Amino acid sequence: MIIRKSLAVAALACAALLSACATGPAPKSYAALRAENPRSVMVVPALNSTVNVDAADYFVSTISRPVAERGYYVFPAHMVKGVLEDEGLSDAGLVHQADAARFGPLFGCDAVLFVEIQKWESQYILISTSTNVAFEYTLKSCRSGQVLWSDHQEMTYSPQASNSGNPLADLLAQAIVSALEKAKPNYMPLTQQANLTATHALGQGLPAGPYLPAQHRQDHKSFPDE
Amino acid sequence: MMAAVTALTGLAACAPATRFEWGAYEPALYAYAQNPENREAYRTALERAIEAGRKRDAVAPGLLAELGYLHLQAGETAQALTLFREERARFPESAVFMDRVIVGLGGQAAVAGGEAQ
Repeated sequence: MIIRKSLAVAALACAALLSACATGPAPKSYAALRAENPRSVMVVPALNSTVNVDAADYFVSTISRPVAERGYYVFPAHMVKGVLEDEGLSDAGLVHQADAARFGPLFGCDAVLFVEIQKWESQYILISTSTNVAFEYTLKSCRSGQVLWSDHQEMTYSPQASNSGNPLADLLAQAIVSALEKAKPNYMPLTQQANLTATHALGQGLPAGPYLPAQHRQDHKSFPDE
Repeated sequence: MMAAVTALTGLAACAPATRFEWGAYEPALYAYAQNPENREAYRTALERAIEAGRKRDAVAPGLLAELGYLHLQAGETAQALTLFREERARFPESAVFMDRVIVGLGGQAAVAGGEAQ
C-alpha cells in the first residue's frame, strides 16, 4: 500500500513536470507481444467496478487516441460498443468474460484491450479535495486469447489555491477551490494522463505499431523480451 | 523514481507531434456520451478532424467509421456506406469489420486487396 502510494506520488510529480510520465519500475516481457506483432487494437467498453455510473462513458472518449498514437489501428470505440449491444453484449461484464479469440472472426482484430475502472472518486476531507482514478489494462490476442501486455495506473489530483501570504484568506481560497473540485471533479485530464502514461511510457507501455514505421520493430532495446 | 525520470527523458522526445489529426474528438465524444443532444457537435468535431487529417494523410483510425455510424443511426445509409468504404480503404485492418457492416447494409464489399474509394 505504501509502495503503491509512493508510486502515485512519483507519477503525479512527473505529471506536473511534463505532460506525460512513467510509473512502475518492474520490467515487462514483450516477447509475446512482439511474436504476435498486432497491427490493430479493438477497445471494448470498460468494465466499471466503481459506483460512479458515468465512469465508462467518460473513459471511452479518452482511450483510442493514445493507443493509436503508438502506431496501431484502433477500431471505432463508440461504434464497436453499439455493434456489441446489437449482438446482445451490452453488459461490459459479459464482454470482459468472453474469450478474446471470439472477437477475431467478428471484427478481424489482432488484439483486444480490456480496461477495468477500479477507482473513480472525489473525496472531500476538511478543506481538501482529492480526485482519484485507477485503471487496469489488459491486451489480449484475438487469435489465441492469451495476454500480450498489461498495465496498472493510479492517479490523484488535489487542487491547491495560490498562496497570498494571508493565512485566513488562503484558508478560504483553499476551501473554495476544494468545494469546486468536489462539485465538478476534473476526471478528464486525470484519465487522459493515465491512458497516456500506460501506453507511452518507455519499457512499460506499448512498443511502436505499424503506423510509426520508423520505430516499428526497431524499439527492441526500449521494450525487451525479458 | 529514477526509473520514472529516465523513462520520461525518452518520452519527452516523442511527445509533442501527433501522428494523427484528432481535433475535438475526445471532448465531443464525451459530451455526446453524456447527453445525446450533443450529437451535432460530435458530428461536426468528427468532420473537422477528418478534413484536417485528409490534408496531411493523417486521418485518425476509426473516425471515418464513427462518422459513418452517426449517419447510419440517422437513416442516411448512402453517406454511411461512403464513409465505411473510406475507412476500409485507408485502414486495411478494418476490412473484416467494415465489409461485414457494408454487406449488412446491402452494399458491395470491396474486392480483397482492391481500392474501395
